[in-house]
Amino acid sequence: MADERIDRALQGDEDAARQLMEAYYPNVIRIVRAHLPSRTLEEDLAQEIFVKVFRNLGSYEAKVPLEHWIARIAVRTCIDRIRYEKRRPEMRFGDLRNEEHATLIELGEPSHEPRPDRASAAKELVVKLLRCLKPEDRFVLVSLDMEGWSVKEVCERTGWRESMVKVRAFRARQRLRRELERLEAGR
Amino acid sequence: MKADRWAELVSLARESVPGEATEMPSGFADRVLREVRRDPAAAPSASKILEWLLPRAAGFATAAFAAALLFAYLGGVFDSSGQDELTRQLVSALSVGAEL
Repeated sequence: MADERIDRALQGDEDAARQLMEAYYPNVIRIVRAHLPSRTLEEDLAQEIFVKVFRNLGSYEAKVPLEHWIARIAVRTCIDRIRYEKRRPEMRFGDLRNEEHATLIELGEPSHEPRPDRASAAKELVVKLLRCLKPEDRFVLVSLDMEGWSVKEVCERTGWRESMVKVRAFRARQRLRRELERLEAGR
Repeated sequence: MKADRWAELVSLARESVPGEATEMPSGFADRVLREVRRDPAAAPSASKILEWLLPRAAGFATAAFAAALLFAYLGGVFDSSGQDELTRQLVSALSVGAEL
C-alpha cells in the first residue's frame, strides 16, 4: 500500500520523516532489544537503522510492506553487529554463575518444577549459550524461541526462505541441546 | 523419553522478558535527521579512501623518493664541507634513476 509519507519524506519533508519514525520506532526497537549484542547501546543502533532507512528510502519499491522493508534493514544491522562480537566456540561449566549452575542442575532433575525466580538466571544462561552460534542461526533462534515469532514472520522480516529458516532453527537447537548435555556432563 | 532441556530453559527464560516501553525518546528524530542531512559523499568511508589511494600509491612513493633524493642532493651542493658518503650514494642513485 502506498504511503504518501514516503514521497513527502523523499522530497525533504522532515515532518513526514518524523511521522514515519514515530510509526515504525516500536517495531525497530523491539528487534534491536531482542537481538542487541552486548555492550551496544540500543538507541545508537536504532539511530543507525533509521539513518539507513532514510538514505535508502529512494530504492523502496513497495514490493513488500514498508514495515517489513524497515525490519529487514534492522535485522541486517543487528546481524552485522553480532558478527563483531567474539563468538565462543563452546562454554564450560566454570563459566557459569552460581544461579546459572543451580538452574542447569534443576533442569536436569527428573521431577523438577519450573521456578519463576530462576527466570533471570535462565535468560542469562540462554544468552551465553546463544554466543556459540553463528549470527544468522542465533537471530533465527532468538526470533522463534525467545520472541515467539512464527516462521512466516521471520521470513517476512529477513527475506529468507522458509526452508532456510527451518533448517537454521533445527541446526541451532540441536547444537544448543548438545551444548547443554556437554555442560551437564562436565559439572 | 529424555526431556528437551533447551525448550525448558527457553520457556523459563521467557518469563523474565520485561515489557519495556517502546516510545521514541525525545530528540531521537532530530539526531537521525541531522545524520541523514550530512552528505555521505562529504565524509568518504575508509573503503572509498582506499579505492582512491591505492592506484596512486606507486606514484606517491616515487614522488616521495625523488623528493628525498633531491633534498639529499641539494644538501650536498650547499654543504661547504662537500658531500658526505651518504649524499654521494644518494646522488649516485639519483643519476641511475634519471638514466632509467
